[in-house]
Amino acid sequence: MGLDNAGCAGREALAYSQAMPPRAFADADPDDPGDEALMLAYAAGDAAAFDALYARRKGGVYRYLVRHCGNAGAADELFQDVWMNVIRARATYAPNAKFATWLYRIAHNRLVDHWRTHARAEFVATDVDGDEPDPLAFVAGARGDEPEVRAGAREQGQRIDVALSRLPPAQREAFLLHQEGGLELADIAALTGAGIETVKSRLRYALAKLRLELADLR
Amino acid sequence: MTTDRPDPSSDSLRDPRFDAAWREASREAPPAALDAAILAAARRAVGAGPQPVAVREATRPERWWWPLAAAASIGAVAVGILQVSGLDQARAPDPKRAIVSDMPAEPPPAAQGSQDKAAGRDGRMDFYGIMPSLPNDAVRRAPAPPVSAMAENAAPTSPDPAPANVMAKLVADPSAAEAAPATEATRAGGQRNPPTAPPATTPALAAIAPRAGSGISASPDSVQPFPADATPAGAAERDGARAKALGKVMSAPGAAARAEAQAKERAPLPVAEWIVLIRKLRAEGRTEALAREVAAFRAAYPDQEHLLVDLPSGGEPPPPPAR
Repeated sequence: MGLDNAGCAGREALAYSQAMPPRAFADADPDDPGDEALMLAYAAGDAAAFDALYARRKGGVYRYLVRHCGNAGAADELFQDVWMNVIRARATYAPNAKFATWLYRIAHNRLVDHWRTHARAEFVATDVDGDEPDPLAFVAGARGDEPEVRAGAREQGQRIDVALSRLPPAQREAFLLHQEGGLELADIAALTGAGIETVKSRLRYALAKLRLELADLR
Repeated sequence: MTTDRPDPSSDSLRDPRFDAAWREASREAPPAALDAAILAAARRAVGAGPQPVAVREATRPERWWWPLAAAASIGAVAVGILQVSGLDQARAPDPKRAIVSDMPAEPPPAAQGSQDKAAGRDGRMDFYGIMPSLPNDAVRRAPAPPVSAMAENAAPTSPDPAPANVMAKLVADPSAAEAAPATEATRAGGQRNPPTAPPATTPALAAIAPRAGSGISASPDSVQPFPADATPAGAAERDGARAKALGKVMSAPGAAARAEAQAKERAPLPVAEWIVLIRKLRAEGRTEALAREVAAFRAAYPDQEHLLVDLPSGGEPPPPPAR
């Protein structure tokens, strides 16, 4: 089973997200309103709050989806669905948890629905730990199999996709939530239904593998 | 195929160098069109709510003339209803009035049966079979009564009683004659107008002619002046005797003044009725009442004195005989 990354391969050099990474943003300016405040402001009718919130989170969510589905077209569709769900759920939003956790839960559920619809079974083995060899981990990603020679800036993205595609789904999920979404271990554990230690283990394995795969990026 | 098993014991969940390298390499972002679509949807969702009304004109009814138009419409409808109802009332037949049909009399039963058969009614259903055949032409088939019978039948139901009945009451009860004028006046109602037709010669027409309001009027050709040609031959002597008696009565002290006073108090009768009354009084020999009525008639209708020509000396009561 290969990952179809043709859509992503056709994308030209993508501008870097104007939003700062969530983790860096959280530490940057304590006077800056949090995601929860922005969401509440948007629910109260402040469209500018949504603009700011979207600018902060759109890159992480989009990359999370692209890395998972490997298809830019499908990722675009999922991305739009996720944010439309956010817009529709503005009236019922309650800051019981971090906004990022709520947002990525929506994205995660939408991704699961997408795979169910397309008969993909990647998330069936969510309890597969990184200790055991994952058969999908040895399947080369479609992007790596493409004959075209990527040039310039796209080469790094391709290598990341290849490296991620070789990760077990559970490890990839934990890594992407941690790296792109900026979620903490407890949030990832709550979102994926696994224990914190399990999530921690998955993250360690995923990072170790990626370091080996992407050693030359450093 | 072998894999390099990473060391799980490594405690570095966060590697700044790796994070920086990852951030540098992972630059995918949603297309600008998608961004615009999502932001527009977000704005639409917020803007779809009720907006505060800042302009006062927005709360003002745009069509201020609607109440006026509604009032005018209601007025027009009311006027139309009143007019239609007025026409209906005007067209409604007065049940107290006699119905005169200009249709031929009812054919004999045999002919009627043949007509029904020809019309397919047969007493069961009409042409459409919806409802029993109503005798729509029953009125037309109803026998038209002869004029004389109609006049007799119409007399009791007429709004103004027949002059003969009134006069009979007056004659039978002289005391009621004094009270009669008021009641007669109220009963006569719109019959105040003096009749245009002079009294008729035949009894039937004489009974009909005063009832001008009943819609039945005698032909002008069929009426003649009051002094009928058919006066009996020996009536002259009788008239003379009655005139003498009448003259006695009228010559009595205060009689004429009383009669005039009573006539003034009482509303005048129509000319024809009065003439009938006078003739009746004269025929019955009630000289006192006759003199009173003649005086009242003259007071009420001074221009109709020529109708009293059959009375002796032109209606004037004869002068009291010299003693």
